[in-house]
Amino acid sequence: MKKTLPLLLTFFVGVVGAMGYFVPAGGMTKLSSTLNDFGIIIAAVAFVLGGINIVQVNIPIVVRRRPDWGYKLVMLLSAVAVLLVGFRLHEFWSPAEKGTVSVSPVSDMLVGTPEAADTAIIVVDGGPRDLLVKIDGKTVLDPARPGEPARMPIRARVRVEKDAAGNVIPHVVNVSDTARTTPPRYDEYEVSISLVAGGEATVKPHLTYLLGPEGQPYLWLFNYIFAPCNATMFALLAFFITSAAFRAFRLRNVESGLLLGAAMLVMMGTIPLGAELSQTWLYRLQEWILSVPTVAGRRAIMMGAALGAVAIGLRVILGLERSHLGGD
Amino acid sequence: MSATPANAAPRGIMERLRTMDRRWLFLCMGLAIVLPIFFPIGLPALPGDATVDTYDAVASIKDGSRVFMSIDFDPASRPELEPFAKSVLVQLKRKRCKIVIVSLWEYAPPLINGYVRSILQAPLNPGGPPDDPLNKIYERKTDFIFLGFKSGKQAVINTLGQSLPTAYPTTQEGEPVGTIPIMEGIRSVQDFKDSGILILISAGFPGAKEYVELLSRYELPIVVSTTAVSRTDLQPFYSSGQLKGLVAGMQGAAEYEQLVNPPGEQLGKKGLDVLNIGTLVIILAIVLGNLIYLAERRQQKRAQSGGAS
Repeated sequence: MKKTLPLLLTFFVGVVGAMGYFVPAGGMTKLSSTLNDFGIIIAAVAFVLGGINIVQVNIPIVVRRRPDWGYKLVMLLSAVAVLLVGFRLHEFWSPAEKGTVSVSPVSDMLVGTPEAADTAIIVVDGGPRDLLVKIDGKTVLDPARPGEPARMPIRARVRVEKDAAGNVIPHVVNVSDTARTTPPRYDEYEVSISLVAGGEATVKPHLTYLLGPEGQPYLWLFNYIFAPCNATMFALLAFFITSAAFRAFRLRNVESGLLLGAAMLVMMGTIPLGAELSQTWLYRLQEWILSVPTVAGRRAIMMGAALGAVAIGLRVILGLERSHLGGD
Repeated sequence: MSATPANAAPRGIMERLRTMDRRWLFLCMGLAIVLPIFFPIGLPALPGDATVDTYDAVASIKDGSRVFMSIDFDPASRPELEPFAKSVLVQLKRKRCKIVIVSLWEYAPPLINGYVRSILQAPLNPGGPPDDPLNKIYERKTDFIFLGFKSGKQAVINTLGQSLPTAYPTTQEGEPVGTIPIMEGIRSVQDFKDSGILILISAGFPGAKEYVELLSRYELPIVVSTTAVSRTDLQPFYSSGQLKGLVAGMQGAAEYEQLVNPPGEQLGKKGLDVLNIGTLVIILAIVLGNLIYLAERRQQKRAQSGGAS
């Protein structure tokens, strides 16, 4: 049973998967599509399994101080760090109340001034000094603007106006991250305040620091650690290729001569310098090499590989090839 | 530094080159890469047929069409593929196209989000008229949507061909994909056949090759930008007409950039100088290596014939 059931499952999945292409009847297409969805889910689960496997394999090496344990430790710590900053953790600790607004009918700044008849004060206080503050759509603090120093709190005088029905038109205060940082570090805070003339409102925004794939910590790790390391590993190829070209790419016989000649022509023809020097005939020649003999060879390899894949697939479906079951 | 023994025979130039420290070669390659960045040559790229076909295929779609893009590369392939990615997004923006983006590579989303912010959600011609399509700020869900990374490789591609909402049931924020305006009437990638085009930017597996193998039965209009090393994998599909266009490597990306002429810094053009000089260094290394090899062989033959006589 331990072997029969997996073999039957393999047969079923293989036959349905193949029939999905050749039998366009509704039921078969749907069944094949469902199995395909299983594949997507299993692939996602494999990421979790991979993570668990990395921990299982590497923690004993670190604990027992086996060779290269330091590298394993760095890898595990990096994995944990990326995992943590990759989660949208802010959604869990983000408070329901994102800020406070306290309104006072009398402003100390306006007492005794003629402006008190039609003006009010809005004070925005709290949070980092480099936030972008807008009142009624107008920017009152933009640290990204040249020459404007970051400062907090900010005090703004606003005109108190009433609509036709005599109701005070509320002022909209919007506090967000400065445009200097994209994507923003903090979520946005917006509040609508109704003020009487001569009054004052103090807005204390509580901005949540954003985490997750669009958060700054994750992007910092990606842009300043992962991307340069990844690009460096790839860029090293240029040096290896140069060294290999010097030491190994030799004119030993006719076959290697043909390979060498074709490689030189393609390389020279590909770069604009070669095309410029040869009045484009070299470019045409390398295009011909890539589009005719290379395609012919590539097609033969692809077709051969496809036929091989069909043969292996049939062997797996029919249970003749059982290496995927872990046995011989 | 080792001292040469007084009785040792003076070494010939070929012998010196043969035993040369390979770090000299690395230095030459390093200079070939770094110097053109600071002192650009600026040779124009001659757009090849495959690149021009790609440009024409994108240019021929109707203004305002919906376009499907799969961006599958990582920072290692960025120099080769980013100039195309940026240029084609600018081209699509000029045509006011609506764009649906997916990715099968887990390292691609931060790069894609960067392109979205710097191209789709930014005015590209600030001094120009407000109705310039380049100045339009694309609205998420209405003008574009990036559905994120999905694991599953070929299984995802297969499902995209049958049902896009099955492959991507929700957006990254959790909204059902079927309910967002840009996806109205879209059931699978087959629905992009008449309205637009499929643009694949692919650095390897899973990527354009798998898309073509699994989706070409739907006869979709596909164009591809790929790395130079993947060109031979995809050239048969271009030759057979399964691909409407193929942009290969940094060279192809620079050619495409030249055709689109996007505003701002042109990375492909900059990279082309590095490619020019770097390739020349490799060619010189091959020539030099072979000269040494031939001289050695002649010496060996002489020694053999001398010994025989």
